[in-house]
Amino acid sequence: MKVLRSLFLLLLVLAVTAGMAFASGSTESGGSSSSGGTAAPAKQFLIYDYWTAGGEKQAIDALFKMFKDKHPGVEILENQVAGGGGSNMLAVLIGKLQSHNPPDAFQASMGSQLKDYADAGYLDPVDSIWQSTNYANNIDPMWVKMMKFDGHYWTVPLNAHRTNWLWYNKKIFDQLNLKPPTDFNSLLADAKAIKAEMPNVAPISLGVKEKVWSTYIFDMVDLLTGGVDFMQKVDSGVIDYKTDPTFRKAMERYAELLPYFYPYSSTKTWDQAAALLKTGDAAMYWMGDWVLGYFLSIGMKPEVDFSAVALPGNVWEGHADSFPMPKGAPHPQLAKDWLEMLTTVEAQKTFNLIKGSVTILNNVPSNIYPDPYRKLSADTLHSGNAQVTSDGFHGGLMTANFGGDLQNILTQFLSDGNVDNAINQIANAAQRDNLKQNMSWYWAQ
Amino acid sequence: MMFKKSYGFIYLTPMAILVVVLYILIAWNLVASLTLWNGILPTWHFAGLKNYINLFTFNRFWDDLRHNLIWLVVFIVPTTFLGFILADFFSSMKRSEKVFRQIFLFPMALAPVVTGTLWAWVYDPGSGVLNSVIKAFGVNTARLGWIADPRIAIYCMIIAGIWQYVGFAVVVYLGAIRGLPTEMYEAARLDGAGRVRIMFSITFPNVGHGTLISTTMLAIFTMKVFDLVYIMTGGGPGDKTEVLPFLMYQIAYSQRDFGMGTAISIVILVLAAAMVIPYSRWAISKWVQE
Repeated sequence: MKVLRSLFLLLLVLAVTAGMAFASGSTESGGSSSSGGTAAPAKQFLIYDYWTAGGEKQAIDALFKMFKDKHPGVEILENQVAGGGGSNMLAVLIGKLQSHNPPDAFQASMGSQLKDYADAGYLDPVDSIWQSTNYANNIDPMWVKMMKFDGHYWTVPLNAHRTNWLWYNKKIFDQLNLKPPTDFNSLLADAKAIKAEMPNVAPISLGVKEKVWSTYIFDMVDLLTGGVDFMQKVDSGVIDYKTDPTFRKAMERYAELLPYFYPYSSTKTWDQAAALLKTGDAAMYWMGDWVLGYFLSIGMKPEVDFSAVALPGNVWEGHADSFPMPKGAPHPQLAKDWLEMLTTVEAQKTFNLIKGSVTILNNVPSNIYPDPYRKLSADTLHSGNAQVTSDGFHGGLMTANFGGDLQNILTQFLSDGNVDNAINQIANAAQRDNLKQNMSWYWAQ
Repeated sequence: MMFKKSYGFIYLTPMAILVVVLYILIAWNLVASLTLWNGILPTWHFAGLKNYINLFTFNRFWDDLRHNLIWLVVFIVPTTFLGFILADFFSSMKRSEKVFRQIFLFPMALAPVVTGTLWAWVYDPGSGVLNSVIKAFGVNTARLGWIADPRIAIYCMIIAGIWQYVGFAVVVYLGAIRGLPTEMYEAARLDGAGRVRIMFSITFPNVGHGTLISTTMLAIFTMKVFDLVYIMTGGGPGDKTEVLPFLMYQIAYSQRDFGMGTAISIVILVLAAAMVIPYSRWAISKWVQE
């Protein structure tokens, strides 16, 4: 009897707990999945992004304002997950995607990382938006290649970040009477001159507390050694790493630069490494144009405190941020309206002027940008004459898995400079991660 | 009596649910570790032990395991020893003991993220507190990289861990020392034993349960250490401060290889269990005896 009574009470508690859990779960799903149901949920637009830093936060807020002006009754529910170049957001988002409970929109990139979402069946194609806006004809073909798989467009890009920029402390360059580099040899010569004349100044700043920036230097030496096609082949696993002489030469060049990097790069994030140019602790910095917003925010003046040169000048290397259409988005019409808004000149101008990037659209005049760097970036990208390529990691020219391994190998390489070991490890990682096969879509197009 | 027993079951129910969920998740993790799941694709391709074979032939895994073992030794011994010395010292105090105990326990109340940020600032080779102080004495700090120096980075980080967790060892030992009979001390003093002799020959051997609790809990912490690594160095320089939980996060979320990520989590679980089970057996046997 005692046992029966205990059992009964236990079952009762379990039933009540399960009932409560079910009730709360059904309320949540009801709130987010009914697109045409009650009025309150229909007015909510759930969006995930990882723009949390100064500048980029204001940029997305400006787009939200624009969207709200067109949809006054809509409440935007923004979920921001900072850090990790989006990997932290993925950690949060993945559960929602897998349980078929997606948001209305989420920030994505391009290339292999976008393809992962498409292959998993989490996205609906956005062909109608591209076709109705004639988007493919208004942007560089490179973007199309990185966003169109299996005959469908999968996302809508809204900005273009150039990454092959070498920023430099103008006062140091003027003081030492140095010319900005134009190729690898002049870069190395400048670094040597700075080290000889100013031993307390790091010739090249670097912050690899977030290891991904080591891959940017990797892309740089590949670009400056073998050109665009070679860099793309390296990133996508097409070459034989162990025997390719150009790749060895590129890695040897990477090793040649090691004594000239900021020696404590492992303690700095990208923005902390940028700040070394302001304090005069470093002279040059290889970084994408988002650093421009940071320089301005810490009071540095263009062409007074700093300047920049694109290396190589006839190459536009970079990546875009984009928004795809999640399959089963709770408010598909709002999601479509959001994506359509992103394709407009007005939205792209508003966003990019604040964000520090340039428009994807070619038909926006470059004189809207207040600084010479973005003007040059826009002119180069939109001219149709430059070689345009996406960058390796953020541009999706490599898989996330290989990219992670590469970062680790390269940050190790930064401290030991062992070229043979690095080449072997990169070859092994490419094999282990099945890089060539997983990137075959890129070369099949 | 019946009333009490029934309610005992009810009070246990939430914990029972948690335990069941925990074991379900462990089982789920184990299954995932046998697949080639990339986290995004919903399909799980069964791969047998491939992830484990890849893991055990992966240099980075062994490096990180070695770093965990360095944590185990270099973190636990000083933390426990320091905790014991301080607890012994505080136990002989009267009113001021409360103040000192709070001071040493305070870092425990800080989130590891805060500790990590604080110590990264202390160790920063460029503008950090440590190098600034050393510089003030006229010493050239150009070669003092601290957490940027591959040779000593992990030890610098462990010091931050010791700073945070020594208060825990103090509290454990204080409780253990308080429970000791005073007659032993009186007899030792009559025999002419000094303070240090009493500390190591009388107190320490009699607080073995405190040592066991402290070292076990700290050992579990070393197997899970993540926040300090993530905040202070991101695993660098190179992978010199990377540990298994950090590797698990990197592989699963940054590299999107959830199959291998879950395999690493299973390895961590096994290692942590190897540390917890002896303690649990001891605790249960003691409880049964009582």
